[in-house]
Amino acid sequence: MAGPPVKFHNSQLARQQRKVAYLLLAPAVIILLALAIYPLIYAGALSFRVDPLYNPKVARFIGWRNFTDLFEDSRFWASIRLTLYWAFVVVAIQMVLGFLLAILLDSKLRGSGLLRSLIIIPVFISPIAMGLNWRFIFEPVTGLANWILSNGLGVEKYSWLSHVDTALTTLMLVDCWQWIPFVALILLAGMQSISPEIVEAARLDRVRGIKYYFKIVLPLIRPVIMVVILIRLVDEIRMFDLNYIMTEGGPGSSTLLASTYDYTIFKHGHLGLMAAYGFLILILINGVVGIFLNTLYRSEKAARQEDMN
Amino acid sequence: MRSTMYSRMLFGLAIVLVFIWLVPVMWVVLTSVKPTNIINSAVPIFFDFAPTLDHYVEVFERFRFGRSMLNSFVTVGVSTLIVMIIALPAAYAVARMNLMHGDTWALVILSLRFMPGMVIVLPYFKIATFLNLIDTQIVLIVVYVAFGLPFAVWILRGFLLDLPKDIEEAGRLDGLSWIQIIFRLIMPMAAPGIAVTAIFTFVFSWNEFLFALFLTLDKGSTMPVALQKTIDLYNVLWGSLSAGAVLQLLPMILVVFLLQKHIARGLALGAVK
Amino acid sequence: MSGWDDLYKRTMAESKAMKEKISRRQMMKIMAATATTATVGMGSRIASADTKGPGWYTDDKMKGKVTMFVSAGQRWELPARGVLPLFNERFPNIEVDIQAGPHGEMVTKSMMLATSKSSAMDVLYTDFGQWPAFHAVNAMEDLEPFASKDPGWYDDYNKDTPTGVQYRVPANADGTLYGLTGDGNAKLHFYRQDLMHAAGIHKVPETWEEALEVAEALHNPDKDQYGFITTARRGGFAGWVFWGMLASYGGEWFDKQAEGGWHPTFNNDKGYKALETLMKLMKFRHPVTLNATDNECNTALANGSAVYAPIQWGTAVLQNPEFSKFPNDIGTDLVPRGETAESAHRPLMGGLGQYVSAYSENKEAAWEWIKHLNSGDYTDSRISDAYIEHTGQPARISMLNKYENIRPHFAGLKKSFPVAVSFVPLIPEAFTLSDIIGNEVTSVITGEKSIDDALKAMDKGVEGVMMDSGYYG
Repeated sequence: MAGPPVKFHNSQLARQQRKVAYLLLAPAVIILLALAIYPLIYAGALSFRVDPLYNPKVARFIGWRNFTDLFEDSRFWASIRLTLYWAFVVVAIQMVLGFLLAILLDSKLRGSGLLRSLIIIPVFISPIAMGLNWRFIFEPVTGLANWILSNGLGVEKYSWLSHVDTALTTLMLVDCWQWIPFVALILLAGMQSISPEIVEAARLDRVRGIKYYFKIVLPLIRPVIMVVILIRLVDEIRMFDLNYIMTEGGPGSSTLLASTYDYTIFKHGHLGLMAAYGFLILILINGVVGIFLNTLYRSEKAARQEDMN
Repeated sequence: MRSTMYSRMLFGLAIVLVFIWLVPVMWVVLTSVKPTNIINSAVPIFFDFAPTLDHYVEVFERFRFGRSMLNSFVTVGVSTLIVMIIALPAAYAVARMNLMHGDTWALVILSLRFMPGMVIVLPYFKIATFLNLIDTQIVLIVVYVAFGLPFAVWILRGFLLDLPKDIEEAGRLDGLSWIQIIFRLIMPMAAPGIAVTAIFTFVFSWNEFLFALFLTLDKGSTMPVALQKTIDLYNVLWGSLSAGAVLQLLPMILVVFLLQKHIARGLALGAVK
Repeated sequence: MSGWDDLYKRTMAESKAMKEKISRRQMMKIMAATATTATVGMGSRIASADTKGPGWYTDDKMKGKVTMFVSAGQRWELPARGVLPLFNERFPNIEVDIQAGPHGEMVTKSMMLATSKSSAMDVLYTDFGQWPAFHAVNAMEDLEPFASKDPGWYDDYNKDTPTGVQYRVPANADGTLYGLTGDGNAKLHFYRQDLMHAAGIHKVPETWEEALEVAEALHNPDKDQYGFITTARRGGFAGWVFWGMLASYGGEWFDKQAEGGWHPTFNNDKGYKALETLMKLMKFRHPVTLNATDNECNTALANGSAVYAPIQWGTAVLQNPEFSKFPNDIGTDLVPRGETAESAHRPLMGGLGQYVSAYSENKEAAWEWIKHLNSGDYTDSRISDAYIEHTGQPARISMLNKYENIRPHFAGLKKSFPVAVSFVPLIPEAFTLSDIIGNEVTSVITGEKSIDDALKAMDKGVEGVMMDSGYYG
């Protein structure tokens, strides 16, 4: 039932429709191209140069060296591996728990609107303020987290963000805390857009509870799920602010995700290397998104085709 | 009967979960009304202190939050409005019209969002200084449109794909033009999705830091930048930081409560049909 | 008897008297300042009949607007705002607009501003270590023509400000003046007198070996009391800890800081010794150390969970009763030295200062403003008072002397400046290099690399940057 593109059989109408479609699309595409082209060309040119921010006098063209330097840098490969690991794990957790949270919140009882408004706060609160506060909360000796864990659960105090083996997990926890409500709310909006006839039909068929959500809702909101996965995946690969504020990639380089690494290169003033790395991140995201669209999107389309027939 | 019991239980669980979820946020709110020496105590102190509004006074007096707040409202408000006006037709075209390579277009639109911000910030800085737009709201509005648009188109696309397929045909039979179909039929039906998209477009710009930092100086700076000023090199002014975070959060909560109604109305309209 | 209580009471009484004189708005600013750093009384704050010095003059003919960009908060923005009313008194027709930005990304942002050749900023108030970069892009105005017009003031500034934190090209007493250093800092040795006495240690450690003994003696993790803390976060934070220790063992960044040199010299005995000693101290580290900036360190020292910080940037917050639980027990002294023959007390120093932008359209007025900001008692003792009262930390020795009774760590600064070395080499690439060595240091602490490998990587990384920048011809 999910809406496929409307097909008109009258060819004149179809042509007219296409014209209107391009007209509707044009402002967005033109604006984006206008705003993106110069920065991309600029960054592209930069990636083949040495251009120190702190000493622009020595700027010059150096060919592919920025790229080969990166490929020879073991930290670069480690950061790419870590970023992919991070993105897939975190998005998987967020989607599963976000869906479950959406089910919990999909209630018609009084006060559910209030709950929905409250749960979204983690997305809204400033990542800078919250990232710092998390650092404060995870402070090993005096922080709230250890206070709760040691007084409430008897767990020994631990320095969550300063140990190589727990820093990444702690970051993941905070990131999930922030974004699960986002996933849940988008999925919820999708759930509530399901036409009442279907809900009614399900009710009459006595399909309810968990079964209703997994058998009926899940396939229906697949387009929304795809979009959320895609957007979360892209944003997690680009993950920066929380990572930068909470650990700056440390301790050692145990939480050094790609964007944070690129930012430290920016701070070092290696503008050329930064741009080269930026393009590699761009390629990485394009690759991941391409694979994602090829596998999952195809199945979405196939499902849509099936719906139509 | 069993069903209500069951849904009540679920709802109770949801309440407990939301409460736990918000503990860190409550901690921030609590910090914002604590005197400084209580904040810096060695053991977390929950309620045993005399609440103070000093930090709120401080963020306005010293960190000029009033001005930053106004800047934030103008830049983020205007850019969100522009984004929604442009994104809705585009998303509609991509999602529901028989567009050649519709998905490819959608991808092109999304691709700007792939670039790490720090690579883009430098060229924008150069353009802005060239046009003498540094420290103005215009440059931030432009950037927020550029970064908000792809996201909005994609989220909206998902919601529009979800709508029943026969709306357009019904509208066409009633003699409505495409624009009328979009604004009279699609918009009310997709209201929950549009509301959610608008909220998130708003919030991403609202909390955006990197561009706001580099493209403004002081007069044009937005709230995230003002907030960052509470972080001294030698100690963080936790009280002011938290007070600022709460002030930055309040308008967002307000927006959500206001839009909550629209989301409900959108549902009701769908039900009537 | 605690001198602090006494001073605190006196301040309170004085501030009551001051309230009548100061507008409400100014009061709010002062309150904002006191909220974070103890602003304690100065007898001289209640203006006596004649506070003016030989440098006092006024000029109502000079006109225009001066815009200054400065890091927000203590030490930089607030003191500047503090001395502004007196500037307005002297130059009623010059409008000074102080624009404050977050300190965190200041180095990157101010550099972008400088390279954009914008005339929007007349004065930039920036880090000492960054000045060579501004100079390299010709963003700074030569200040000699301005300064030489008032030889009395210039002489006083020169005598009072340590040469090591002055900005001159070349970096010696005869170099050309390009900026004024209003703010000075050095790595200091913070220790807990009460605990050391209790442990039977009555002497402040001189060498790193003695420092190790103190760290071990005071280390008591079962009671949440850790014997060592420092800023070992990735990047420059960790880099300057290592460089500080290396300096105390007689090490250097380069074989020679001149043509034909510029080859990094980390991978040698001194580098090994410094990193090895740091690793020994790390055995007693506070758990937050590896993710610690100055913020975390100061918080831990203030609440008592860390009790010893032998190599830590100077700050007033630890002796501020509102922030610290042990304002009277935390002592300051020189950073320890190594034990080898080449070792010496060589604390790192830095600071912040102002320069007049080469693109400014109002250089005369801009100069008057930064001169006022750095004039101290020579122009008017009220300027010094306001500077300190608004959390300033001057580089001028006379001011450190004058206020050390209310800012105890000034004594440590005063002792450090004469023997200190710059916290970065004075070249445009300074911060880039600091991050490179810092990242290698943290990888040793986390066990990713051995000391030898890290030192080799430092040399290689630094050499690569120097090569790109054309130092080897």
